[in-house]
Amino acid sequence: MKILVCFKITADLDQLSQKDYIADTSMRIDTSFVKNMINCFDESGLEFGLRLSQEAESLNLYNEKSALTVGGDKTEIYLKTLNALKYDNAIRIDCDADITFNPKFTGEAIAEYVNKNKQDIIIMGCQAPEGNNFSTPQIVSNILNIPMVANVTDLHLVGENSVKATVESGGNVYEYTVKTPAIFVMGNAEVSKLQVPTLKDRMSFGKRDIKYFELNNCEYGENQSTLVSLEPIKRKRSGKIVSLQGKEAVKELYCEYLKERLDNI
Amino acid sequence: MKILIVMQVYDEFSLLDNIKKYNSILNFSFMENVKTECAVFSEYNFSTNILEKYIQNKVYFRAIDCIIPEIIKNDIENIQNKENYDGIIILESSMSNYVAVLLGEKLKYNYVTNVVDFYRNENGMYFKRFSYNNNVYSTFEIKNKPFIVSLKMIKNSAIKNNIDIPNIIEIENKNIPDFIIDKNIIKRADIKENSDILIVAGKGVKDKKSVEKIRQFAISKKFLFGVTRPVAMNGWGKLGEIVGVSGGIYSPKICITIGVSGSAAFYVGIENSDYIISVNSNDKAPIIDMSDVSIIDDYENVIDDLFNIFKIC
Amino acid sequence: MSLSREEIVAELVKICGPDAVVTDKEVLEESTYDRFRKYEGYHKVFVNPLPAAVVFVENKKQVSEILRFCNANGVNVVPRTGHSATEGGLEPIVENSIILDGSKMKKIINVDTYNMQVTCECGVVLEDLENHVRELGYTTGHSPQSKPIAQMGGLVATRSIGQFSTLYGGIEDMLAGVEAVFPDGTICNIKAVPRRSAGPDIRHVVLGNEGALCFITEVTVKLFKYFPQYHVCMGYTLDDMITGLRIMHDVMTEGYRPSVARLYDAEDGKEHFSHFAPGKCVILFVTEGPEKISKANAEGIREIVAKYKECTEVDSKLIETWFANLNWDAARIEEERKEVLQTKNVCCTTEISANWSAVEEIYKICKEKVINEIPDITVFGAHASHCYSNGINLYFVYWYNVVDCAPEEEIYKYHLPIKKIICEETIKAGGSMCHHHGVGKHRVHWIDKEHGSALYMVKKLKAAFDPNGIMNIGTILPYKK
Repeated sequence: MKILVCFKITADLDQLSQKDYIADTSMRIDTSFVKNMINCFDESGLEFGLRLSQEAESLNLYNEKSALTVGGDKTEIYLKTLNALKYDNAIRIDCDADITFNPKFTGEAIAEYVNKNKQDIIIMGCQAPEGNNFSTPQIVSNILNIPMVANVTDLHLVGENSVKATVESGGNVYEYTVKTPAIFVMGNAEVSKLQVPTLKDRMSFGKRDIKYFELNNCEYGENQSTLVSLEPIKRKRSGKIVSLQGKEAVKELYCEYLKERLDNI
Repeated sequence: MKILIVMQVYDEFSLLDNIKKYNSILNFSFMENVKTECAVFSEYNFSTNILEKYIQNKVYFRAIDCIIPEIIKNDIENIQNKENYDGIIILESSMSNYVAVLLGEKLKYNYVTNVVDFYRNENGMYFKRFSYNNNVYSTFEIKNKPFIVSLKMIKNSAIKNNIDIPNIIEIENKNIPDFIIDKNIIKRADIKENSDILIVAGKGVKDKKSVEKIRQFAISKKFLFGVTRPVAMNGWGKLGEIVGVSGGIYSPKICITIGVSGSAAFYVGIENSDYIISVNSNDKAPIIDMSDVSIIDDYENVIDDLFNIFKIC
Repeated sequence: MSLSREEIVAELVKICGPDAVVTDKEVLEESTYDRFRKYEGYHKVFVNPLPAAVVFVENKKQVSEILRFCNANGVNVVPRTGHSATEGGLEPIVENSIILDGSKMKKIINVDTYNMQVTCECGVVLEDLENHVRELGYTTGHSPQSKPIAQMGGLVATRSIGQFSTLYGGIEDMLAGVEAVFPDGTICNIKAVPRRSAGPDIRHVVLGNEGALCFITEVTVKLFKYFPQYHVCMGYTLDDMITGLRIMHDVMTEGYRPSVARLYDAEDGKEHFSHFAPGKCVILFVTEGPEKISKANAEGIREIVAKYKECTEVDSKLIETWFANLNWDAARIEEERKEVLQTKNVCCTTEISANWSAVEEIYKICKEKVINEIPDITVFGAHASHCYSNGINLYFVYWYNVVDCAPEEEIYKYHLPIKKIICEETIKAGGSMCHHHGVGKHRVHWIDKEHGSALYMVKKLKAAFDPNGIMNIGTILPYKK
């Protein structure tokens, strides 16, 4: 059984302040000065990749697990960590271009890899925080004609060709038993943190080669809908503060601000 | 132009919510002189009389066990082959983005996800959404029809009764995609109140007991109750109570935040509120500038008196 | 005969009123540990006995009455304010203790910008105090990572130090006056004067007492003018930690005074700087103060670093952004809790200090021994963050996976053995096993070696001020039943 987890390295946007969200002339926001991290939905996916592999082993099923990213040099240390966590293949599709708003390219790149390296289970996060495109898994699903299960919050192996996926939708929780090959798109899963490799594993496994996959068929090009502007959002309201505190503050709030509104409700 | 509006209904609350959003969309300037028809996919068993009362023109309808993007995509593809809409607008749901992109890729149409606003002019059609953790508006241009968009955070509008009864067409295809071997619903959403008042507890509410106190008050008054993502992740609130980009988006008449700092990702969940009141001990918390009025104090010092105001309404 | 829990609670209620005395089980459980036993705490495993109550005092009179009562009845008192301690100082290790919590005493009493002092109660959160004085154009100069949570009483009690210490000093340099209550109920107010020679400096009986001698009710700390517009941030990458230590030595001994001088080895640096310095050490400096002084310090430091060709300067924006996100608030602690529960990967620290001549050897030997002798280590690194003319600190940061180990066994399998190596090697080399987190209850094992012949003085202080042994039993000095 072959498991592929796709992940993206993003900037830790919590470290940016309001004034940093000014786009340059090519409509890009500079995030190069903040720490990077694995996109949180993909981090769930990577942890599930490890857990499904362990479940396969306990079912005496041969399995090969791979982790794939499309990105530049900043992905290297994460790929090394995934090697140290004993992913069989840590793969990078080199891309230095800005693909923040180009999920088409990412989807096509992943699909090209999978066409050459067939997979049974593909796991991807639903979106990443910079572009918020919410598109890549669907693009991969369409190109490969592999069905997709959306908003997954839990995954377990049932057998060699089937997986049980817990899905959140409309506030309800569903359980689907799904035939593989299939793509599982991670939503808000409880399991959201990746295991940590020991120093010894980093020495033994972390130094294995990272694999580089060269694209032949897909080129970085125009996305199908054109980005025409990026504007920072100013979310200011009147920002009034009641002058008193405690009981008196609540009295002031009611008399000066709320009474009429509440009368109209 | 002829546009198909797609609704996904899970329960009574989401039926009404969809209809209110449908009414809201019709008021957008984009929709001037546009003929709209609907496709409704519903897990909730209801009489189509409701659709006749509120939806114009034509309604394709399918009662469905589980709202699965593949099913909706296949059905809309069939509808589109027949109707040739200029655009397909998918109202917000947990699956709307998936449906939009699967459909867009299959039909090779232009698409934009998570759209919060849209307009058109002589140059093209423009669709606006959030990016960079909801700190930035990104606007996309689509020049050519047909287009597909999935919407997010559209404010509700009052429901209007129809003059004419629409044509309700039941979708005949009842197939389930064969990759699903088995399916079960294992937990239903909590019943949501339809209330004009939302109370949100943030991480400034220091413990589980205090969050529970606020929750119980909201329940007793049939107010909406939510928590910020960190509170849910602590286990002090349920995942289904999360307010914000990764949870519920609300547009109450009054929103009260208690101990909420006001991250952008949370704020999108309440920014459509008519009036926002915040209680926070830190006058530098981002929520203060984003609220209409705030009390700067420890919530423990004001919460009982604050609840008393609302007890009388 | 010792009092029952109910009798203790009844007396506390009599002194402070029922609203101030908490006996809620969850609150009591959370009060049995601090960050030292966070792994157990996150798993809701509580090994220490539940205290009889947590009492939130509002004034020094209540503190005095409570201490007098406890002193007369042999009730162990654990003083607490921000609950951010890291060495077990807040653990109640005997039955029917009380937690004496000063966090409700949060008045800023007087800001005196002419005499450059501010007086506040023990429960004022440092960040609140700092924000308050910054609005007036001043700073306390005190900025430990716990700033959003830690409160003034605890910061003085633990001899804390902050990120800008190289210029402003540690709390011992900032404290001008202090008020504390002793076990017999005596309230002592040490007045704030610039300097005096009126016998030994009794502030130092209170500073660093870790609640083992008294309860701090009020502090007066110095103020400094705040010139954020003249801050200069400089960062460099380099290959070798030892080279970095030598650069720090040169900067300090040449007489320059940055506010921040920090050096990270590659392992510890991985957690912070991998976006621009993967696999490298990072050394960074911040200068501040009036424009001419800040610029002169920056220039001098740049000249020194330039002599070391292996250093490559980085964009100061990288350092500024990193700094702005360094501190820990309640949200971050909750994030850690979730991460620890899911990954069973824990981060702990041990901070030491040593003379320049000893620190390189301490760094090398601790690293070697811990990596070889302790299982399941995922990261072992260190940074140096406080510099002096005669030496530096080392802050060892280590992460490990907790494998096949019940939560209550974790400190015995990992945390304490690591601390043992670091403390013993440091003391052997002539350094101090605790730079700024305090002894708490988990470094008492080496307190005799730490003080040597001077332990006599520590014991005498304890015997003099707490003869009945009711103040935070097991802290600084080991508990003998």
